[in-house]
Amino acid sequence: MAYKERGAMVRIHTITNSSTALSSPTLLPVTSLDYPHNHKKQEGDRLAFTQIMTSQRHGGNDGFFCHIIRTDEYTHTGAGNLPLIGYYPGFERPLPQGLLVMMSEVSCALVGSDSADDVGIQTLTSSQYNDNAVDNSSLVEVS
Amino acid sequence: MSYDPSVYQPNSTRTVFTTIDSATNADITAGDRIQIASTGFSHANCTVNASGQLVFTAGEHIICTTIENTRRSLSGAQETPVEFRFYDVTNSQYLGVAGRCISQLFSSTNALQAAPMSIAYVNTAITVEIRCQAHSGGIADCYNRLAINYIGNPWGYIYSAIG
Repeated sequence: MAYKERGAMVRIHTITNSSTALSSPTLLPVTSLDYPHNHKKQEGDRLAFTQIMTSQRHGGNDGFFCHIIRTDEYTHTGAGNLPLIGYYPGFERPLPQGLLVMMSEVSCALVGSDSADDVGIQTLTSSQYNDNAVDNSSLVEVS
Repeated sequence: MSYDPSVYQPNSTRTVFTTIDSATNADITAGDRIQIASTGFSHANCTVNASGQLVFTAGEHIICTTIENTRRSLSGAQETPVEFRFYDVTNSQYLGVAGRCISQLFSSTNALQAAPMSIAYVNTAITVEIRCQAHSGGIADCYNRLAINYIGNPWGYIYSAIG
């Protein structure tokens, strides 16, 4: 007789004081979380949500960019980031400016592989000024 | 009967989707559908049809979505909110709670608060779409009309029970 566990599994990770400066319009790894729990195939295909907290360090420049889920599970793409085909995470404007574009400030992705040992947050090419810093970030995973 | 406590098998399945990133979702006003992309979509008991709607055939699901709001024109301090919500096309009624996405010139101040997600619960065989419930201000395009690369994709998810 097969046994199935019922109910969801939720993990919440918070990173504080990372204080990562945003200074160039390039790929920027904000933070990466070691994820030692996902060595079992049964934990694949989980939803991951990320949110970052930013601040203006000095000066008058504001930045705006999107952030996506970063994971090591698809390293064959060379980038190690989601989304791939069929995956659509990523959101813009964590800082208080934008060109008349508004969306959610939470990223979402399906982390699907049993070989994903770490999952993190990464900003994309954007208008990132060195006045801005990432102070806090969080990652929530739901299976 | 055997039981292996080291094997955890959540009794649920999950899929992430996005909305169509093209003029298909241009000039959205109240009552309009914001179409979901079918590319790469695969989920038990649910498909995306040619109209960009979710077609549920069975099961129990929690659905959540966000949208994008790109306002025309780029000038002028015009607050442009788009309120969006899941709509049950089969029974002609809104589901769950609405979200609100507001575009505004960066130098201006929003009078409204944003609620960027819409969430609903589905447990019958119905067709569901993302629908604009209210809109004001300028022309709202619900896709990346500006074609700039630091804008992410709107996302939604389906979280479903198995068995």
